Amino acid sequence: MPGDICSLTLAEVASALQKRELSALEVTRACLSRIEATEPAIEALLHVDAEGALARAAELDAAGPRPELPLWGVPVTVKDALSTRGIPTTAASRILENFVPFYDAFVVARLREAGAVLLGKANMDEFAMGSSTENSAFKATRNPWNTARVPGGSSGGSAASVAACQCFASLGSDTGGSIRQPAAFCGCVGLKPTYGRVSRYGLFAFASSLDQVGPLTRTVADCARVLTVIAGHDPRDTTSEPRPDEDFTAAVRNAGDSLAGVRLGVPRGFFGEGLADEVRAACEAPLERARGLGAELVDVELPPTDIASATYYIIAMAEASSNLARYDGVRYGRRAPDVHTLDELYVESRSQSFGEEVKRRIMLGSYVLSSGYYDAYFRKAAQTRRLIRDAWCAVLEGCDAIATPVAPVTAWPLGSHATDPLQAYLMDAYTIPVNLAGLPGLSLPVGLGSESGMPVGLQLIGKAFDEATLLRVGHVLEGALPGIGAPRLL
Amino acid sequence: MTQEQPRPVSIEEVRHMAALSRLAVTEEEERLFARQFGNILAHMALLSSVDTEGVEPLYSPLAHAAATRPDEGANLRTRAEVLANAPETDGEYFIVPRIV
Repeated sequence: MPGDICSLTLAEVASALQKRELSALEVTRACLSRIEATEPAIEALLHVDAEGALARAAELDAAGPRPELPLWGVPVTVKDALSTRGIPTTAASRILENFVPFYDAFVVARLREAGAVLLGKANMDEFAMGSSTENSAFKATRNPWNTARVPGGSSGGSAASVAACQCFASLGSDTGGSIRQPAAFCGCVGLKPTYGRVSRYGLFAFASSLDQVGPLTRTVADCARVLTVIAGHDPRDTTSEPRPDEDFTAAVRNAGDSLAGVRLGVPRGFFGEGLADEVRAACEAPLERARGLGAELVDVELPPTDIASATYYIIAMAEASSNLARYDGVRYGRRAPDVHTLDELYVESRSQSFGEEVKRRIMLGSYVLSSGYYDAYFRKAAQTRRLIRDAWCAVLEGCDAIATPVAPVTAWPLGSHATDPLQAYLMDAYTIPVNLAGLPGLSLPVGLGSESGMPVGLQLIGKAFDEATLLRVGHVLEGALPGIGAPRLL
Repeated sequence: MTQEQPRPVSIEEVRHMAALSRLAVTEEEERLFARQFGNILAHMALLSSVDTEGVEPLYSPLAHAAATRPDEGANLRTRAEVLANAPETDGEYFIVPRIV
């Protein structure tokens, strides 16, 4: 069974690599075989760089392990919205079909410096616009737990790749839930760091005041390890917070097995109407477990999710319409053939290359920013954003973390939201306030839905720059819960 | 909170939105978007029920002021690197259709 090496955790494989019980080449070969075996069923990856990965592993083996490199010899994948030097990077869009970057994203460079082996690029919704990975211009990824269902999105390829044990960690990006929701749907751990914690340099911008890069892994300890590698100040991203590097693995190492003294805020409004019974049940059980471990559960009140959702879509679409103006067929990307004027070149290159969801968001974004509508939509949304941010921060003054479901439902069958974009937008209601407020959010697998049999994620939301508490609480809970097992893919 | 009644968006408005976005939409897309945009804008109009009198807009959740750096020129990339992904180039410049 090819799963032997591949189903280890990142911490386990990294330790075996350091002790030379396994070579980087052995581990990389095992992952590449696993990819070959599972890709026909899940289609998580847009590009596999087998040659580059094997060469890199051989190079690492020749040099020998270095204990100060936390990812030495560890194979990983990254979302295709992250720039990778010499490796095609498309953001799952036709407009970047043949784009090969000449630079690494900050986080990709950090992975390489930490000794990681990059296996390939994970599928996503085009420009990260979607929550099912069905908006990819190239293919739909399927959920390893049930291939008739979506993996979530937009980092669906990353989540499926981690859940199917193709790699030991992946990086995704999260603008409104795009790490946490696919992590929940695929039964992985996913973390959206605080806005400003991780550099966005080399992340293809969707909505710049909301986007953040973060890890997807199979355990909380692995998540802490990858966050430690990618977090840090980068002068090339002006929103990157100038603060010293932090060792998040310590939060997990010193976590113990008690939650005594931890105050968990539970917003009852997030457990009411619109939440599937199987998700409610699967989220309430770990909260009871947390209480049993000494945590204090406190009822808290947060602004209604539909207000946050309306605020989010106005801001995200406005920022997207501006960010995606750069795709004009002049300097890079696809250019429409047979055009005669510059304007025609812009319009035809964009119209022939962007998918339907991207067009929808750019057009609505242009609209809410346009003369006559700016105040009623964009400025109004920026005002409600402040009210939402202030309300969340005030609640977090009185507790250590807030616990909610990640999504109101489990992974849905492919094609179910194809005709009604608004219905799909409303599925992000529990994750988007966290981006509006710039807070960190952790998605923790806590059970399987009693009806669907699909994974359910509990979301833990913390104070700005307090990822350590989320990782500590998540790690203790993970150890105390029965675990959801692994998908039976092969 | 109840949903606002969807206000239909006209085909002309869809064309205007496309023009603002440097996009051309097919007749089929015009009809589809007109219907969908009505529903989405009605959802967004929920915000009209929120009292934001005197509230300062928040455009970024950033805790610190955006950092500045010294304004110094630097050659970080070669011309060949920058032109490598250009759809049309003469090796020195990006080529576009004649403007003047």
